[in-house]
Amino acid sequence: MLRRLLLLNGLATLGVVANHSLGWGFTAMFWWTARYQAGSTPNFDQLGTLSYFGLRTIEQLIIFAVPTFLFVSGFFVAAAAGRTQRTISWRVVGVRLLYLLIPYLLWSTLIFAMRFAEGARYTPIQLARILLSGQATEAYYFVPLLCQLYLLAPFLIPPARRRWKLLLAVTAVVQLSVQSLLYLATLGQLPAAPDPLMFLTRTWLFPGHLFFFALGIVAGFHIKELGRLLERVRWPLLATVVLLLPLGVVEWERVLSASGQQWIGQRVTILDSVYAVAFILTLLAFHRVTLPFAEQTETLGTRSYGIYLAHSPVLELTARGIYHGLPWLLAYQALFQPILLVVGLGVPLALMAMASLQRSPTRAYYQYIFG
Amino acid sequence: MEVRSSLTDYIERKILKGRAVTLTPELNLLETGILNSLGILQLVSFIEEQFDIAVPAEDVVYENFQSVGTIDAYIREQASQTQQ
Repeated sequence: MLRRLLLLNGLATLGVVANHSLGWGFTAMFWWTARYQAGSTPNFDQLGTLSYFGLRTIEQLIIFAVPTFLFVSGFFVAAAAGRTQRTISWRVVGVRLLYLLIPYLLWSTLIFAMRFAEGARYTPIQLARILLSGQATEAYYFVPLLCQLYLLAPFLIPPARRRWKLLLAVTAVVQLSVQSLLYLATLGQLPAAPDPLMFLTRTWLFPGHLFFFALGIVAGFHIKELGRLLERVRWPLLATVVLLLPLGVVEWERVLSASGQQWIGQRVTILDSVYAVAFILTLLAFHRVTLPFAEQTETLGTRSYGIYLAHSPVLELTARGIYHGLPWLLAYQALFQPILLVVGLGVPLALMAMASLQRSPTRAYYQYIFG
Repeated sequence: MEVRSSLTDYIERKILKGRAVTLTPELNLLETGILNSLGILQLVSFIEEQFDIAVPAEDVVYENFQSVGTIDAYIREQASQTQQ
């Protein structure tokens, strides 16, 4: 079952790169239309087309990605706490944070340099805010989020060991509450909500993701019982995944329509969370089934953090390069998406391979660059 | 000693990747950040393939993976149980 965690991590890595490629796809579809057809922007004529639903379906399929990363991190926290210690040591937490934050700061600095070259200027306070909330680029919210969860880990471990049902119930309620707030806010049903309340719904804050991490910790401590349970419910779990995939697409269209807005950026709904949990547990439940390219995907999983950090600027440069150099391509998602995916995975992997070569001057600093 | 040298070699090549660390049998792999979530999973895959033993998920805990020394002891114990 452990190798299945590596596979899950690899799939999540693929998912994250694909998800951000899709983001550029939607940008091309609605905001960059002037580059390949007449008319002003934004232009939402492509809403409801085959291309649009193609992207939406893939987006829905891979929404398990960040929950998976959090689940696997939670599992590690349980392993690091061990059998005899009361909880995970602060030393382990501290060093984990160090090797998350150093690469994060390096890559954020690179992105700031890109913005600076474009003419953006930030005050020190703005820079600090951006770094604390992972806003250097859209994907980087995950790092402050994961850091918060690691800081919470010593407090989550004792209940995960002895009162895991209560822990899961409480974290589920917290997460569901945040996601409910998001629904209400999106649908305009939250009149004059106090800012502190809406602040909790920020993607980089832990309440909206707490359950996935707690589930990983609980799974780490109770893996035998979990295995027995998953064996019994694996087919209903698989059915849940298959059912929730199209339902998730439909749900988002309903939410978009009911909101009265032309477009809403991606948010993880309650249905998405259930789907993500079902997806993770289904992969674990069927751990004896050999999946195609499993070994390659597992290898990808071992490089997930480096790919996560490097793919964002790579995708941005590629998308913008196509915008300027090959604008006609933006009209063809069937071409645009594979190019982004190949570049978004390939370039980080190539950089990591070069950095780890025996004679590379960066080899000694590999962990500080790619985690 | 073969187990220990095999482990050390793997960790140095695949996990440390050139980081200047002296791997002693007592060095705490978790508290020094050498093993993280993915490193542990990677190491377990290596151990299962290299030493032809199964590592149950419930055995992947701090006590067994704390250092090269404890991993060595764990592998030998698992190998002897497999032989029995």
